[in-house]
Amino acid sequence: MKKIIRDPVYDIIEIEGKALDLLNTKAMQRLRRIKQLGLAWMVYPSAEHSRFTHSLGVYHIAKKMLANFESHDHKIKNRDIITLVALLHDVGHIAFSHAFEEIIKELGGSFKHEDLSIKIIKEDPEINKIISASEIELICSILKKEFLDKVAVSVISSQFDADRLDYLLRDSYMTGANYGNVDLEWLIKNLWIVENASYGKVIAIHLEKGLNVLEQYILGRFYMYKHVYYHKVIKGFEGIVGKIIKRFFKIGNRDYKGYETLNNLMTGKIALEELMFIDDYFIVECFKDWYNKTKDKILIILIEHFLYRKPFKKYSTNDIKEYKESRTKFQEIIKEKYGSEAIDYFLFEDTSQINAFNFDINDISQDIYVCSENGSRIEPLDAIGDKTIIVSGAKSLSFLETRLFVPVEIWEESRRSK
Amino acid sequence: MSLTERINAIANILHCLGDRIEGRKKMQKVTYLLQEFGLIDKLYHFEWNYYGVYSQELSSDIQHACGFGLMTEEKEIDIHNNVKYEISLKENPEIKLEDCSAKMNSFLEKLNQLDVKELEVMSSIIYFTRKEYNKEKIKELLKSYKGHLKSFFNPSFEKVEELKSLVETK
Repeated sequence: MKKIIRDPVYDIIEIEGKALDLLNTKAMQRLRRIKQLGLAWMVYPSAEHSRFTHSLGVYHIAKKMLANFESHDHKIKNRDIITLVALLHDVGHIAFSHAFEEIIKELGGSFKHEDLSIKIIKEDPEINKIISASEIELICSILKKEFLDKVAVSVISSQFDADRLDYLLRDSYMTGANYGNVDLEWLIKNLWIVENASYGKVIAIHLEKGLNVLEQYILGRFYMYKHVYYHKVIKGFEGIVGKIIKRFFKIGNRDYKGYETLNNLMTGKIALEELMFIDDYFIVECFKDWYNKTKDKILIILIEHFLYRKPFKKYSTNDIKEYKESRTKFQEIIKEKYGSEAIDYFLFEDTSQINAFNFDINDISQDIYVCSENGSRIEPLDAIGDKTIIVSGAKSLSFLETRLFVPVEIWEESRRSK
Repeated sequence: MSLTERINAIANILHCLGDRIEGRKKMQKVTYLLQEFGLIDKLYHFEWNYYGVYSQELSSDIQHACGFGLMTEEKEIDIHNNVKYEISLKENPEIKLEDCSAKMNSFLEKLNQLDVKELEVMSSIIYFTRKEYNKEKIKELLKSYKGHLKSFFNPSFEKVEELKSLVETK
């Protein structure tokens, strides 16, 4: 059976077979209740799209990429499995997407959505009825990047993976910040599977035909990070949500909604059934419950900032002396106004930083490869960077801002007492 | 711990290394080993990555330290076209440098003599040990993840033991 789904980015997405069956599982359907961009809707009101629509988009792009490789006469092993990985890759996401992972890490817990995806794929009885044990093993090894066929892994996780391409296009469309709106069809058309002794089998972009779309991709991605993913107000709200959770556990009322579930998540003892309920709706309901029940002033103020969209004010400087002085000043004012305990909740840092060219210097899968017409020459983009002003310029293009966040009244008080 | 406190801690590591270190990867491994052997406070959360243990936060903090003008990163390209970044500490009154303890000095002296590939294997051994794998299992994992560094496997196990006894010595 085949279904046709209308989509604002690709118009039509066709889904069939096991992918369609998987789409209808509880594990996938819960992704409808998790926003793709975490708290970005606080700034970009239309950014209400979900992990569910993103997963469909990644499935669609993966199919397109594989069809392109086949049109270049490459035989793709495990074709269907790769498309299932694309569909399932984010099944382990929980409330507020990446923001919640950071919160748990800050509180000393350990949690990665990739690990939860694997847990769900391995343990969910519905998923296990649709795909066999050997297929599950293959899917998980691709997700863990342990699968030996680098092309299969690269379609899911590399510089030109289906995940990145969909999130750039979809997030651009849904936020209205059009930076990431790359020429997808041309980009995919010019991707080739190439192989040589130095780099093994990699996905490379045809230098001559694909250079301009590559430039568009590098810059678009950088600007999306700068203006959307690392937006000061979004980062501020992510910090507020983190502080709400932190305060909640500090005052530790077990009778409040969600205590057991969140505690199990934090300690890594979460059961599958519980995990399925941790979506954006659940967390917001928890916040409302805590807001109505608590007498704790700090928790009340923090939840009010979240529910009524009162962003914290950002302060940033690249002067270390000023940074330290401002930090101390903020601490003094918070202490005077709310007591010393409040400092840890009403003042926080954000250290957003991204390079346009080298996303993650430690990850070799982040290398961009270019190739010649017949694929005989393969080089990392770094080696030919000087052939294009935009790419060579991108090497020195970076975004770095050391930020402090405080409630507006604290910031205003600090200005008055200067 | 705040960003400035973490930067101060990294600055002190660099100071003990003679105010500079060759390579971001080396900085990662040295910090991890110092942390795991209890010679510095637990500053960073390290995860498994292509080149072994890695902390995105440490990498980001170094960038922020450079942004504050407290450190510099100089790009160097060797004759084989390999890119390396030398991280150097700059003098700044906002950084509070402390004297290195004798133990820290001898520990770092040992690490500094080693090839970064050796440090990569050693930190991998520690990482897998923390996951409670036995020596045989660790060897198996090293073979699958770091087969290209095979020649370093046995010497690295020995060097980890040497580091242990160095730290345990009063």
